[in-house]
Amino acid sequence: MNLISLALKSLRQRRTGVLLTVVTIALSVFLLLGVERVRVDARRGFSSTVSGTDLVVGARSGPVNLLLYAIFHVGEATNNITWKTYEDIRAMPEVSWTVPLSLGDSHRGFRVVGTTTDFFVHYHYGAKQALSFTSGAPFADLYDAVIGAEVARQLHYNVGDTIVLAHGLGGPATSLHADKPFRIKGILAPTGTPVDATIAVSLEAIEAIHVDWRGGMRLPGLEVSAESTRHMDLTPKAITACLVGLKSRLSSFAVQRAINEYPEEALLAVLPGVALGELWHLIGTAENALRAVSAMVVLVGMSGMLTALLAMLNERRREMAILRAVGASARTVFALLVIESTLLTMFGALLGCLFLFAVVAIGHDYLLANAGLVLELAPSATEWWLLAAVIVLGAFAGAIPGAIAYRRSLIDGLQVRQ
Amino acid sequence: MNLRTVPFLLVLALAAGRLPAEERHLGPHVHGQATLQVSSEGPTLVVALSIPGHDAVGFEHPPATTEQAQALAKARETLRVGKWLVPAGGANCTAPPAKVVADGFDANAKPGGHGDFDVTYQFTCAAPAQLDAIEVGLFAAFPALQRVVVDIVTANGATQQVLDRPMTHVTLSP
Repeated sequence: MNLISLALKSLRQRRTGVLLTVVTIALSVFLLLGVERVRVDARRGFSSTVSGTDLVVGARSGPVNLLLYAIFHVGEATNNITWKTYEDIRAMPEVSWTVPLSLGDSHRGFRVVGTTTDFFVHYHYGAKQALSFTSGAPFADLYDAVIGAEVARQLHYNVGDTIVLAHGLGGPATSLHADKPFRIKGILAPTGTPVDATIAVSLEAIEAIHVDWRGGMRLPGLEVSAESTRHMDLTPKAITACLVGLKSRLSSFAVQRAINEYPEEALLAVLPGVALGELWHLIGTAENALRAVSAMVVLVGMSGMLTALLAMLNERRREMAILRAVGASARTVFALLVIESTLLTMFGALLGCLFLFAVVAIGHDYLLANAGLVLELAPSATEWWLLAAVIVLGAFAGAIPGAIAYRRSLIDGLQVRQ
Repeated sequence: MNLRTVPFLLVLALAAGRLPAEERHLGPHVHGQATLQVSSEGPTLVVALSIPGHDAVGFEHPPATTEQAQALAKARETLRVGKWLVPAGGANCTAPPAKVVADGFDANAKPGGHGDFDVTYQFTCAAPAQLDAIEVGLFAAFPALQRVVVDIVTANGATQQVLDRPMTHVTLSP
């Protein structure tokens, strides 16, 4: 009988203890890989979200704050930009294109972005990829909406369906813009960015649905119908932020300075890559702390396994002695224990991976909608290295009970002391 | 006060209120830290430096002594020639001497204000594809300087690198 099947059989004899040990290791591996997965995917996702945009402009706050609310829809704007200011920026000679963004409304948990059709032309992600439509087209009518791939998938929407936007970030039914429903005009192809979880409408539409709203509520008795709104002046008064593309990169810093020193309004222009760098710098410490904690949890899992193996060792003195008696060498006994602990770690690692896979698969949609985070199902290269390290650690941990059993089996012989 | 003057004063007060408000913008000024803005497009490489007077010459007011005047002239010359800035050799970049703007060092500088040197170098590179790095020898040129924050905009997007003493290497490729 070879050693591995012997080890498996011996493990099967002690199912409950073994199962608990495997679960402990699985949980620690789950945490270790989970932290790494979130870290790597968050970085990749964030970095690929803005590409080809030279500057992001918003009200003066902090570069990270601006980038987070304007692009990733995390947090809120400190202030809006007036339409006049936006027109001034658009008119700057160095500016090639601008895309306004107006945030604030939602639909069943998904953010609504008021913008122009330029968004579909100029917004790029990943390696300068443009947005594309799986069906339909950009909005053309006032009450047209374009939805992201995730919105369509989760809410089972198709082109032509009617949706009602909610005022603010949702809540009681009274704050719905039910009087002015939107028709879905287009569905965007998946991008793996927060665009997947957004609903784009025109800036005029944002203005139109708020035409009869004052102070955060609809004015009773003064409702303006969807049709008569069409004849009103729907020039926006304010936007939340805007994306700016320049004619030449060489003017990036000059335009940035000009916007930052714009006298009429306190503005902030950031280079997306620089702001992202600041974000990584900020969260780098937290990331390292998380990694350290997850590494320690793996150590705890390992010592749990070690405790279990050592505790079992006493019960198994007779087993070891019999093994020696039937011709197994002391080295075989040592190898048996190392193989057992390696197998335990491998089962634990496998279970941990499966557990992570399940959690990622289940939590994928929630994370995309609520945190703008896209998690990959497949492990990254680093994760394979981490797994290998855990298994090697498990094998080394097995050397401790192995060494004890090796020594004892020489002393004990067949005589079991009480 | 005559009652008749009250409407007049009111009008005057309203008029005063309509005057445009005074603008008060102040950029950041961190002693020990210089900022470098690097942008490249095609054969052109533009590098703009802003360094506090505190780190370039050790004072931020019009020179009061001969030593200070000499230090100022020396700093101006160092910045004008720009020998501390070396783009990657293979790119074969050349730049004419730059114009140095010393803010806060002339006779009409606001007393107690800050002083900066601003200078922009415009390189033309024969082989821009080889331009993957620049060497920034600011720490050797200005021993009081502790840190250089480098913002970079290239075809690969924008990044930021921070040089702490005694680092000199700035990578332009990702």
